Amino acid sequence: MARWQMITVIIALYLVLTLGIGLRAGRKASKSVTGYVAGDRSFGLLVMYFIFGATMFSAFAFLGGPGWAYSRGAAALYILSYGILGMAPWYWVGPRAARVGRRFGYVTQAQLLVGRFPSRPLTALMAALTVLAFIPYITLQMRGAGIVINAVTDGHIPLWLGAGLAYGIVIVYVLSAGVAAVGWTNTFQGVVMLVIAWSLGIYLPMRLYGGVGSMFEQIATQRPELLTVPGLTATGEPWTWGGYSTSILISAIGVAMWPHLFMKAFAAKDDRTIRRTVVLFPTFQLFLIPVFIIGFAGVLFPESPDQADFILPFLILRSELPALVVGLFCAGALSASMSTGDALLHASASVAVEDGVRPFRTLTDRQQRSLMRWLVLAMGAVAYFFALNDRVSLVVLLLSSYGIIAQFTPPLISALYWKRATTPGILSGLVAGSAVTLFFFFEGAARPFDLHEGVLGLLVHIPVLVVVSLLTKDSAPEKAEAFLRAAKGDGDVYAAGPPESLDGTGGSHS
Amino acid sequence: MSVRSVRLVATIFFIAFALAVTWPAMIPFNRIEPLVFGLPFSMFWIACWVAVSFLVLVWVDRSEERAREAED
Repeated sequence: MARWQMITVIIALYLVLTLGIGLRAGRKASKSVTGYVAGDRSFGLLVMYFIFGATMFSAFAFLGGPGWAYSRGAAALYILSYGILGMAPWYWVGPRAARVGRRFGYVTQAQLLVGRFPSRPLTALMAALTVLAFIPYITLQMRGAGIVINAVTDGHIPLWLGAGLAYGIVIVYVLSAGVAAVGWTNTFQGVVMLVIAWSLGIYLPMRLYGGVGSMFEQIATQRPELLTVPGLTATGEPWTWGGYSTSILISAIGVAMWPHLFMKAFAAKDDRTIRRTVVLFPTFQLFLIPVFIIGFAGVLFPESPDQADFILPFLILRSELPALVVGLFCAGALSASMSTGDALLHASASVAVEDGVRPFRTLTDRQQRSLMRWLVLAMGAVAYFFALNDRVSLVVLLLSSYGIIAQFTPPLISALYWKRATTPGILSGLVAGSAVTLFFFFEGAARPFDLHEGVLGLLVHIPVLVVVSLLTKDSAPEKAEAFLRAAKGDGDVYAAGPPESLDGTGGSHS
Repeated sequence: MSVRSVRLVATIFFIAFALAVTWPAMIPFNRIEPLVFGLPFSMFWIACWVAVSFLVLVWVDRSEERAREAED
């Protein structure tokens, strides 16, 4: 058997295993919408931990991360810096969101917001911004899967087939089982990713330079500009401190707002699970170190790939590793791409139906589930179309979508903590913040100190939200109070305190 | 320590973390030498904050759990 055929067999085995795990998980989940979107609110610690870890480290970690370290050096360290800064507040915020979710039956962010600030334009705006931010994200994951399969099989499997196969499998298990499948496959994929990243991060520098330390010593003498922050830009110019620092800031503010992550707070079994997931999160974060080391291992390598993002497959194919290791690497990279892609597809379809369609049309539970499935297929098809038609603007879109997603933070924090916030305040803040972000995205040269456009958006967003809220009156202050009481956990079956019925539905929703 | 003071210390810690890895507080630690565990000092500096974050979160969690148990 030829080398590439052996690799293909290993990849095929891996894909079959993933499909099996996904389908098995789906048999246990209930047929309700809560079952499909929020996994019957039953996720335990192990599944939650890997969902967060595996979902956050997408194809970007395996291709983009090493690509950044390789071409932009220490600029990549911003990725290591923001994750835990963004997650730590969720030790307190996450359980709060989960409690109102259980009490009022929310499964998406927009439902939570509209539950506190009733407004149909608000839910439509959230749904539109979410889907817009998701398409380039899904596209990149698909392309990543195609690139990896294409590269390691010496081009025998073309990009369209590789991407199509990997995502065909993702779509089958997302369609059949919803979020339960996403949870269990991510657990499996997370373990594969961790093992592969650490082994390659130690093996490659050993093999090429005789160790991690001597690799960095050699880079320090030949390319010292790569080893200190803020590193370089994509074109090889020195990056600015303003751009580097505000990238950390905006990513930390935005990271937990990605709907596919935020919605997992509603899927958690209890508050304890959410808190522990946050506590354990830094252990997953350290996984970025071997990923960066892999990228740095390419710096002094005599040959270079066409694009920086190809550095990892490029090195692996030239280091004469056994076919088994190459196959496993491919499995790890596919894990990274698929574990994010499945969560994204699932979340975007859920949000489109729950926030974009349901507030405007009544649907039965059954109709909702079938509409979500059609949308998973449709989103998959749109992303597949873009994945085959490579355009640079996609990467740019993805970076700017962080700026948009971060605009969800002030409204959600206000909904959960600030009694005086009003619907007009939230709506005008969100519109102003998104508009400013988009303006500076298109007029990048106008940004002072190279600050991230999302940060500039927030600088307008927050004052508008506060001032308009203070100038307008809440139409139903007693409703806001009931909402905040639920957020604190009064009457919640999972929190301490006497049960108390607010709307007749009782504490837990299932 | 009471839950409130633990929360305060944790908040101060995470603000310090944010400042320590951005301009201008990062500048004195933004250097290649000395290599620690083979890593450039800049990378080691950030990794340290991540590792200490884990300990801080474990500490916060213990104190919050004790407080919740005391409430019951």
